[in-house]
Amino acid sequence: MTFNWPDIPFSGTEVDAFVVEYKALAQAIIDEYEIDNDKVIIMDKIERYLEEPYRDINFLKELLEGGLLYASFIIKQRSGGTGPGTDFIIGNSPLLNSLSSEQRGEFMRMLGCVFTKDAMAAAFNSSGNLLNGTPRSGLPLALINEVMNGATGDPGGNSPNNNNNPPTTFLEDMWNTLIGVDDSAIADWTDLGLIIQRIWFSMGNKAVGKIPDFMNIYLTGDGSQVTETSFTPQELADLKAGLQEAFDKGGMINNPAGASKGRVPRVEQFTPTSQQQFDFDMQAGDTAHIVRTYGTSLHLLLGTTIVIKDSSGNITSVHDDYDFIYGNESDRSDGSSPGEPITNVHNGSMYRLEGLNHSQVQNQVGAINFEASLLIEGFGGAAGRIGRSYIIKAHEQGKGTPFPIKVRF
Amino acid sequence: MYTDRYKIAIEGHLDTHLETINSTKDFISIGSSLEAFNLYKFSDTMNIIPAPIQSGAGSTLSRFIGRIPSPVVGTASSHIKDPKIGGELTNLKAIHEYRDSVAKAMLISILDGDSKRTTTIGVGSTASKVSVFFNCLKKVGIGTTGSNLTFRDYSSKPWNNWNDSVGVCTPTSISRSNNVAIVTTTPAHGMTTSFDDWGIIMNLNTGIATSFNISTSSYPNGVPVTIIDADTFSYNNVGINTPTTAVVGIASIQVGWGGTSNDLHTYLT
Repeated sequence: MTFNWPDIPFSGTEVDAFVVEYKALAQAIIDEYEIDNDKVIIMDKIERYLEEPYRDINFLKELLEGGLLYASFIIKQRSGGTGPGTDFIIGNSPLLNSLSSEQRGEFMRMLGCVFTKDAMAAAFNSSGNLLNGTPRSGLPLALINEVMNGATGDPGGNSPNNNNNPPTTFLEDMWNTLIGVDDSAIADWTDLGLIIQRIWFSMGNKAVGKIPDFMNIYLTGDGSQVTETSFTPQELADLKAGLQEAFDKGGMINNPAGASKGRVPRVEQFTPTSQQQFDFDMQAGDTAHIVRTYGTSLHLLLGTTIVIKDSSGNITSVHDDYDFIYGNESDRSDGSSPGEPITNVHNGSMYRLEGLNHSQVQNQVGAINFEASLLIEGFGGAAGRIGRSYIIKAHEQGKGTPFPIKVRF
Repeated sequence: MYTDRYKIAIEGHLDTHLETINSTKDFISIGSSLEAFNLYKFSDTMNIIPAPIQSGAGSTLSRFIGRIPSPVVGTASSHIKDPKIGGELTNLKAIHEYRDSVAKAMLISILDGDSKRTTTIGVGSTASKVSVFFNCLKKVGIGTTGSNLTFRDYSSKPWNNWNDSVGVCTPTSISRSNNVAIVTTTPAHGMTTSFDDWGIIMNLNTGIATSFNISTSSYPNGVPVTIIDADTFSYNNVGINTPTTAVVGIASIQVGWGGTSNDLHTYLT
């Protein structure tokens, strides 16, 4: 295991000696651990006696890395007593006070502070969206319009409405990505879209917050089946509630394959084949339903899916293939059921059946000017478009592996 | 400036106390440049008890951070948690405390003696320092024998010397206002202003005076004090406002990690 040590912006005999000793001891500590599955500490004395936060070797490594800077600072203070840091005035910070955007983020990480774009969404949610129970739908928009772009009256504001200066910070880069000036980040799944999606998708139904994870599995995974073990109890409860929402709403909706194809029931019971009854673990009295989650909280997570109910009407399982008509789709022509292991994959129907190219598919369902999408479709719709643009771009690059979802409640 | 909004955006990252520098530049300004002021310090400046696992809201946050290990798995069934569940190791404030605990453990392991006020590296072997490190992070344990082992080695660092008293003083009067207690001693308390790592364990004898006492089960190395003058010091103490009252008792003088001298100020542009 290799440490990623931060640079120490302090110098002196004592500090230098301490840093050397710290790093050597940290390595010796890590060597005490034995690892199973990269995560689980199996060494008895560690797992049994230590407080739980310090048993995971990877987490401990991060803590050791994060602790070096401040521990060194204490040594510096003890050796000098006074100086930058104690007699603080602006501009006299002991740390570099002029950083590039990348350096700034790295500095925060040195302190152990999370400053990734992904974590900004986490911090945002932690500040009000998730912890107090009530979703605050206006906050993501405020985040974009006012915080990331500079608030009205902020002398440093960089609103594109009144300032066309080139961007200088990654926050501004994010804004330019959003408004389409520079969409290079769109090509990187780990970048902006993930933040936007997590901001949006995590606000209400916890199961919906799985969308970025599922898309990541689709883009980088091996097609392995996802089951209920991939969900937290809260996510499972919300997933079930979201499915029930579709049953409760009922009625007719536009055909998800296109409004021109007429309207279809949101929920439709069907008679499963014997193979499907087996695959869906159905018992006597159980019923099978096609559920089109469009217009419900789950529509970006599951789309059209299969739900099994028991004789009392309780939802017992959901079966789906995580695939895309604008990406890759599972090929069930062999008679296998959604949710079961996928043996064949083919191009999505927009390419395979409609004969569209990637540019045409993008125009129909994927990336358009985000700002326009925001105005027309709302934040959720715009976030969905960002997500779809990834899928289309990934397909263009030969990426995207559908995977089955089989969740038993 | 709409500092509240900026605070929402940045607080989770800085993960530390955000200090108000002046009335016009509170936390951060975002525009053509970014300015951030920050102050980092140990969340507990006196004690060495390792931060235990935390539960609650942070477990939700962790799923979005995606970097905190969820499988906290031990052989004892009570420690087994579903690796797929976010885990309880999660919120940023908790991470701060975990990091503090590790930094303290490293300082104690590396430095000589009780590791207080020194920069001298101890002469022990690496193996012995590793042992001290783990000893710092051990649970209390239960009992003393058999399967009910006391996990910590109380005959070794840090438990054998960290909470040692460095002296005593004699409070003769005390008052409390806005949850701050002010103590007068006779003779002088002896804590010099050359250091800002002093702490106190109050042990007063009777009546309302006992409400000023410090529980060593909660604060085994006492609570930090602010030196007012040679005969007077103050410490945070929650309770009703109390006029100056003559008291009888004793106070143990302790030494911790340090006060404002360990404030790591940062200023980023």
